[in-house]
Amino acid sequence: MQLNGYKQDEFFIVKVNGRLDAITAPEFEKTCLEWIQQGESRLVVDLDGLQYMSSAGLRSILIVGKRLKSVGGSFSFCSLTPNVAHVFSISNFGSMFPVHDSLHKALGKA
Amino acid sequence: MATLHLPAAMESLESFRSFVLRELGREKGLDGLAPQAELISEEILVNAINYAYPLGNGEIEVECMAEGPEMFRVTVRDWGVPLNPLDQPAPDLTTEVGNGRVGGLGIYLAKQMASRLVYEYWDGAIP
Repeated sequence: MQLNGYKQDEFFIVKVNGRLDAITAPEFEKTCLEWIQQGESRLVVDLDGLQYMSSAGLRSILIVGKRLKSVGGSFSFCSLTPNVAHVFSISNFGSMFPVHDSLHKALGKA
Repeated sequence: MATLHLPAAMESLESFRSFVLRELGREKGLDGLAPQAELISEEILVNAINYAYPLGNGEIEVECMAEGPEMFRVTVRDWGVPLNPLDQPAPDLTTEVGNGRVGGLGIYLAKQMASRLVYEYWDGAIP
């Protein structure tokens, strides 16, 4: 998994590539919580380069989502690959979190 | 039929994953099952790694076999405590973040993706 975060407008973009599974999810969760701790509260996760996500990835997303909710932040996702979109769909995460086709749309520039 | 026997530890997960995908790749026409096979295997293996041996170390064996032209069987075997993960209630996937009970999410995903998911406890080992 490769994980990067950068500021764009009022949002903080989280770019995660590779795999979000039982091995990598703890690092994703820890890093996102650190970014929130540092004051970032409007996270957009760009999943364009994420090929695989298991329940461990979903759980880490829920934990980050709960933390953002507690600080009054926002948490959205964009550019899901087919496998990840399928996992989002059957777990109902597509209803729990805003999901956008592209980063452009996620930033409200559509 | 091929088997891989490794310690029940998270460090074994990547080797099990590679093994399942390699065995699946040997079967003609089953490539399309790779996403499901990968996810179902991870969920069942993580469950076994976390819960089969609460009192110490143990081992897990994965067995792969094609069953007919469109079916691939992955068997995860351990010699730990009897615990049927399929008995877990479905997670509460409410639309409100933070309110739902999300235990059992992995087994829920595996159930959704597998055409058949079976647990057996047999003579001290899951056959």
